[in-house]
Amino acid sequence: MTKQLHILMLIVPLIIFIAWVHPIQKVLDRNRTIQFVDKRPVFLPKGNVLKWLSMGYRGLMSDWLWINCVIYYGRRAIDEDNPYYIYAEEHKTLEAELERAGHSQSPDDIPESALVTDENLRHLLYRFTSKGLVDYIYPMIDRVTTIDPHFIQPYIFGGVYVLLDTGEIKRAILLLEKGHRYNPDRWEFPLYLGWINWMYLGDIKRTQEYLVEAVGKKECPAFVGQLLRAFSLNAHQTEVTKIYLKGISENTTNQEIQDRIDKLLEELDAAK
Amino acid sequence: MRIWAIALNTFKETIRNRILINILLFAIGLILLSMIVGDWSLNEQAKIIKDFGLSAMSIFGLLIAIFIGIRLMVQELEQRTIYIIASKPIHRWEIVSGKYLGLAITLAINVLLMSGALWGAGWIMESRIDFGLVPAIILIYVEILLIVGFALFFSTFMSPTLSALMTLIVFVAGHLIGVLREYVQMFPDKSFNWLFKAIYTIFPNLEYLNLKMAVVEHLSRSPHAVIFGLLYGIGYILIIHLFTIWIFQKKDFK
Repeated sequence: MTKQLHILMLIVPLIIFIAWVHPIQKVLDRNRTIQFVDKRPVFLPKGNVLKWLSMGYRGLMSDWLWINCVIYYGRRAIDEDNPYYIYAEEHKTLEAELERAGHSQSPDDIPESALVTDENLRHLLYRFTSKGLVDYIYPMIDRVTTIDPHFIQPYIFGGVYVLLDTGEIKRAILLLEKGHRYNPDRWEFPLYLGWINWMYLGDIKRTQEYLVEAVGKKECPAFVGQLLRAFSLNAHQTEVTKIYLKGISENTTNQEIQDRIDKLLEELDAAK
Repeated sequence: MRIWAIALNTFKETIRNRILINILLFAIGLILLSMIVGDWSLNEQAKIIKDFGLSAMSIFGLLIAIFIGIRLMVQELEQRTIYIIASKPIHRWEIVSGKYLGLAITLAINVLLMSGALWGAGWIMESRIDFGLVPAIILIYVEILLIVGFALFFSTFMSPTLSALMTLIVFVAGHLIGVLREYVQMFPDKSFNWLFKAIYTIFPNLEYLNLKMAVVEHLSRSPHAVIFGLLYGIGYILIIHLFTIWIFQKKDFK
C-alpha cells in the first residue's frame, strides 16, 4: 500500500464524518424532543415466566428490572429537583405531557379514598395522581418481587414511596402483604401495613395490631414501640406522624430521605 | 507426573490465550461497572454489586468453558499435534485428564481474579470484605468445571460449532430441569412422567450449584447445601470425564 493510499484512507472517513454523518445527526437531534412523562406499557412476560427464564441468574434479572423501575420513576416523579420536570416546565410542555399521560395535579381529581385521613397532613403526603406511571411501576415491581421475593427495597418503594405520590392504596397494600407473606421475619411489613391502615384507612385497631406484630420482630427499631405507645395514649395524629417521621429518619442512611423528612417536620411545626 | 506435564503445558497455553484475557478483562470491568449501576438502585448498591459480580463470574466462566474448553482438543486434532503427543509413551486418558486439569487451574485463577475484583468493589462500597460469598463462589467454580467437562466431552466427537451448541443446551437444560420434577409432583398421574423422571435423574440439576441469591440476601439454607452441592458436582464431573476418556480411547486419529 502506497503512502498516498494510507493518507487517503484516513482522510476519506474524516470527510464522510464531517460532510455526511454529522449533518444527518444534527437533523435527527433537531426532531428529537425530550419528554418528561410517557406511557410505557410493560411488555415483559409475567414474573413467574421471567423467574423461569432467568435460570440461575434470578438476582441479576430482578436487579436489572429494579434499576429500570427506579430510573422510570425517578425520571417521571414531579419533583423540583427532577431535571426532566424542570426542562418540561421551561419548555412549556409540562401540562400537555401530563394530560397525555393521564397525570393530574388538581386536588379535585384526587379520589377521597386515596387521601390521608388527617386533612392537615394531606398537602404533605400527596403530590399528584398518575395513572400512566402506576400502570407501569406496580406491574414491574410485581415482576421484580416474584423473581426475587426476598428483595425488600422494591416492596417498600411500591408500598410507601409510590403510594405517597400516587395514592394507590390497594396496590400498595397488596404489595406489602406479598412482602409480608414471603418475609414473615421482617418488621418493615407490619409497620408499613399499619401505617397505611392508620394514615389512609383510619383503622386504628388494625394499625395497633400490626404495630404489636412489628415490635415482636427481630431488629425492630425503638420508634415502633414509641408509636404503639402514642396510639395507646390517643395522641394527636400530628404528634404520631412526628414520631413516625423521626423514627424513619433515624433509621435510614439515605441523606435524601433524611433531608426530605427534616423538611416535612419543619412544615409540620410551622402548621401548628 | 505425565498428567501434570500435560496439565502444566495446557495451563501455559490457555493462560496466553487472547480470548481468555479479553473475557477476563471484560468480566472484571463489568464487576467494577456494577458500582455505577448500583448507584441507581436506591440504597441497594451492595446487593447489586454482589449479584452482578457473582453472575459475571458464572456467565464468563461459561464463555471460557465454551470458547477454550472446546478448542482445547479440537486444536490438537486440527493442527495434528495430537500425533506427536500420542506417539509419546503416554496413555490417552492421561492426555484428556491433563488437558482438563490444566484448564481447571486456569479457571481457578480466573475465578480468584474475578473474586478479587468483586471483593475490591465491595470494599470500596461497604469498607469490608464479605466472605459470606465464598460458598457461592466455590459452587460457581464447580459448575464451570462441569460445563468444561461437557465441552471437552462433546468436542471429542463433534464439530466445534455443534459442541458449543450442545454445551450451551446442557447449561440451559441444567438450570431448567427442576421444572420437570415440579411437573411430575404436580401432575403425578400423567402417563409420560416416567420419561420426565428419567431425564431429571440423568441430567445434572445445575440449580443445586447455585447459591448466588442465598449468599447475597443471607437467606437460610441447608447447612449441608455447600458440601452436598460440591459432592453432587464432582460426581457428575467424574462421570462425564470417564465418558470423555472412553470416547477418546476409541477415537481413530486418521
